[in-house]
Amino acid sequence: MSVSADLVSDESQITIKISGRFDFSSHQEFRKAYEDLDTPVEQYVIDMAAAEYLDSSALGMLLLMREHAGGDSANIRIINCRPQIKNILKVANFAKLFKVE
Amino acid sequence: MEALTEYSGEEGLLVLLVDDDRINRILLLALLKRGGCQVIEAENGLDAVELFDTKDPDIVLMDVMMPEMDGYEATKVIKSRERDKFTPVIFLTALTDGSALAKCLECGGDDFLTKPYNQIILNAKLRAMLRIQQLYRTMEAQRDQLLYHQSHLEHEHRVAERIFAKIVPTGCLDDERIRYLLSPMSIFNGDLVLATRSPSGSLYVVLGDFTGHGLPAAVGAVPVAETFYGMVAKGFTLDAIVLELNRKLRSCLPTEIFLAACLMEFQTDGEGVLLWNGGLPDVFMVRAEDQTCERFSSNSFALGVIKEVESRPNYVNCRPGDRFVVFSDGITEAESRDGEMYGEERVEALFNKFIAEPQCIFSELLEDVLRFRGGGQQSDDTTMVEVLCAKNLVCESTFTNTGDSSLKVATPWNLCLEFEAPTLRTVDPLPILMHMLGEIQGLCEYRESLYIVLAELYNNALEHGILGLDSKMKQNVDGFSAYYALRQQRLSELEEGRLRFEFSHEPAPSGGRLNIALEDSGSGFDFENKVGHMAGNMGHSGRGISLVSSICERLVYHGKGNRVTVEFVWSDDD
Repeated sequence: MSVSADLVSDESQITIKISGRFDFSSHQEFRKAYEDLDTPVEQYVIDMAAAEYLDSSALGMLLLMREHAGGDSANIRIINCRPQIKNILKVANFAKLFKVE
Repeated sequence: MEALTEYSGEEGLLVLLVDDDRINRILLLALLKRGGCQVIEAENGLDAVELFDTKDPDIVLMDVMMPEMDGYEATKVIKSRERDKFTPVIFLTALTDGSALAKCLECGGDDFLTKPYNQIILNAKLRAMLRIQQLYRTMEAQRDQLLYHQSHLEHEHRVAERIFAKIVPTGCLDDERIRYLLSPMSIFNGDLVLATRSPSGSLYVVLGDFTGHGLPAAVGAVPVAETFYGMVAKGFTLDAIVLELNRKLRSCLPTEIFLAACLMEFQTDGEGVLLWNGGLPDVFMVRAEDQTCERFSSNSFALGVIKEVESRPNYVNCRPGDRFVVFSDGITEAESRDGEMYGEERVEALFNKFIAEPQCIFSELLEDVLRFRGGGQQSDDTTMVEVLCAKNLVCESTFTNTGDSSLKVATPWNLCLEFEAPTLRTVDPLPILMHMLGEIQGLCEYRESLYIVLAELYNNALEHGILGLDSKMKQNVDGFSAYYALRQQRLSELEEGRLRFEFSHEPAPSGGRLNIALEDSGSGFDFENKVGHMAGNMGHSGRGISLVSSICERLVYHGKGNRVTVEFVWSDDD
């Protein structure tokens, strides 16, 4: 599993790309991607294009990120999900908490 | 007097002496004999031609004016009958008239000898002619050798072509969504186009262009095809395939040879494409609905150059009817007669020109490149692929050919695996289980669902049952980290504990039923009170079990809560 983060030019949006297995083994990497930022971020994007699996600890990590980003006022988009991953997010009711595209 | 044997061997040169004047013949005969030559004589052109045919002389001395057939005519005939050897004709002449001398050369003569004859000049002229003859022979021998090698090489290429066609099959390139251009000798140009379907039905396409030509590039195609087909069939993701291709090519190819390539995965719904471009010209995409064109530049090194290649693909949202066009630099670097390159600007201009009729772009681009080149043959190194996004157009032949359907016919089987503490410390059982289930029953379409079921059950059994961790720790960010740090610590120090997976599979009306049981050596938990609370809970724990419940038909805890069973039902008419 690997996590990489790109800040877009105006630095108000960060895109975090996940590849491979998204599970607890990547929690530090994932956390670092959005916590260690010098500037405030308005929009978070999680790119799942290359994510293969995710499990409930990954869901937990997404929730922690949501808290960090302001809880109910957080603006987090989860994009490019494979159908099965989208399904898992749906089953977990995450569509209510995140913008799953 | 010096002999001429250096050119003719022990027997001496065989000279055909043609002259109707007997005195002349006697004179020359004496000079030639003294030079170590053998001589045959003819009195006119007609006899000369006959002797030339039957005796095959090394050199001809030819008078001009003769009865029956004159020297001009005889020389023309002789020169026309020269087969694969050069026979010099030297005219014997007293002529001083320039145009007559010129006529001697025009009809095929090689030199003159003017009267009065002189031994030194005769020998010098013979020697000069023989040198030319020698040169001619060397050249012919070399030409023959080249012809031999060429036909040998062509033969080898034909054989290799047949072998490669078997080792490097083009997969499902005959899919009606795919159009491609690949020269018949492409394998030796180092270009390749492969296409196949994954178990879940996605279409994978690769276009590759090796640096260098010939055999070294061709050899590289073998591991590429094997890796590509093998990994796609096993359901690996695009970035995993890119990484493995890079690793393999880097280890087996010499430094200067690498593969510029584009790998694409087309989802079955026709609405998403993963695209990785390493070192090829921009990939073009035409959106059918709003008639726009997008380009995807290479964002990585070519394969086989560096150790760690950027493997993350672009995800492109698309609609059925959109099309992707990929080509090698044979298009962009096509040269006009003035040495100008076709270039990406012209490609883009062409796409824009035909944006309203995208189905024409493929052939129009080829035509335009051909025109730009200024006619002539289609160059061998033009390789191009177009893929149309479409919904679930499954290429039946692929499945029947490879027999690699994602769902194998449901069969009854049982599997039991037990992991003790030393194994649990070092081995992650999830990939092993996923692999075994895939091997036995296929089920690739259910990979993600199965993974989450196994992962949740396993993590619960390990973390709570065996390692005694409390989910409450995960309430906040720091707790989350602490929880997983503790998990790691306790696991590495684990001395006692056991996990037992039991799988039993049976055919069901439209697919199969997989019963999974997992038992741990822990003390269990009060499931009757807890499970009820977990459903719908959006806190920081308990989500896993509600996920599993939503995927499986039935989730039941047994005994003191250290054994859980689920039923996973799959159907093949999905």
